[in-house]
Amino acid sequence: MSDRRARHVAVLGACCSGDAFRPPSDFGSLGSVWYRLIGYQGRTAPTTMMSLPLDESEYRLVDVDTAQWGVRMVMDELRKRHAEKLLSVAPLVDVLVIDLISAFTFAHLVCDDGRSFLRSWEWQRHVTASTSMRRVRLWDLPLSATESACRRLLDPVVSLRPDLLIVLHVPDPSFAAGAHFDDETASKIDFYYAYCDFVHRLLDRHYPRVQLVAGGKGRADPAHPHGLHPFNFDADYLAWVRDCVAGLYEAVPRSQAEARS
Amino acid sequence: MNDPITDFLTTAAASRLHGIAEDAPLLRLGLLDSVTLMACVAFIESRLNRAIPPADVVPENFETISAIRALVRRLEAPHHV
Repeated sequence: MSDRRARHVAVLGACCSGDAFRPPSDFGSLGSVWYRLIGYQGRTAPTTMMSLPLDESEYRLVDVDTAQWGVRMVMDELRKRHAEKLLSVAPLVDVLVIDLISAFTFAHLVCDDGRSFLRSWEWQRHVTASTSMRRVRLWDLPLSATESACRRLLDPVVSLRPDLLIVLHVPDPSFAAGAHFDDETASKIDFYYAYCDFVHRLLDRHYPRVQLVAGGKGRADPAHPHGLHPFNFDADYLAWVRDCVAGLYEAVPRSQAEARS
Repeated sequence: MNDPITDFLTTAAASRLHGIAEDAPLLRLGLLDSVTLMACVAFIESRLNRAIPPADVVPENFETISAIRALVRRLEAPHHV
């Protein structure tokens, strides 16, 4: 197997996509992982990713241990390093998996000058902003903001990697084991599907290799490291996502991409 | 052209390693997580145009930047299989 090049995956979105490709914790078997996760920007949304950063004078970090993933993640969010990080591995990436879970489930904090940030659980724990921000939700934002952000984010990536397979991952929320949304998200499930459909059409219109992974009957996992939540799934679902992506990568001929590009 | 590790360390994907000492214990300090490690492996493989054998993806080969450089030198050696 070591003679065959591994497939390289990057993820923009949430752990329900990223964890599907995480290498096992036993370090010694990392080298044989076939679908390798080489880029993961968690708790991200297209619109906030392409915002300008906060200045260091505009926030204070609390409870900081930079060895923690959550702290590193909010520092990337504050400094808006997601696109830069994705671009730095883009030449090596075979599959880019995008989901819109974080964009949908977390509030967006918008400054007067338009800069925006996701109010993730980790943001709430680690960031105290001193600049004025208003709290809005994804459904309050114009769709044109998503279209503009997706193009600014992905055009340079596809330019570097024209045969990149982009997979939009649209899981259904699971209410197993009592999982539930504890805010207005609960009444906006229809919007979630409509928004995902909008982004799917947008990606398909602009990029040569776009596929959809949807459904899958994932079950909310009471033992999930981030707690019980409709989009925190069990290991069976993550394996299903990985298998779907692998199947799509092997099945979609590059000639199809070349013919459309 | 720089060696693969010097180039990798300049990328945004390796931003946590910018300016780190050659002998700093990357794994013990939590500076090299699994995703950054895989990005490093992928970067080396692309530059050497060959896969790193699974037997070489072990902690001691990624404990420090010096150790990663030594791994690359071994992989570049013509007798390496």
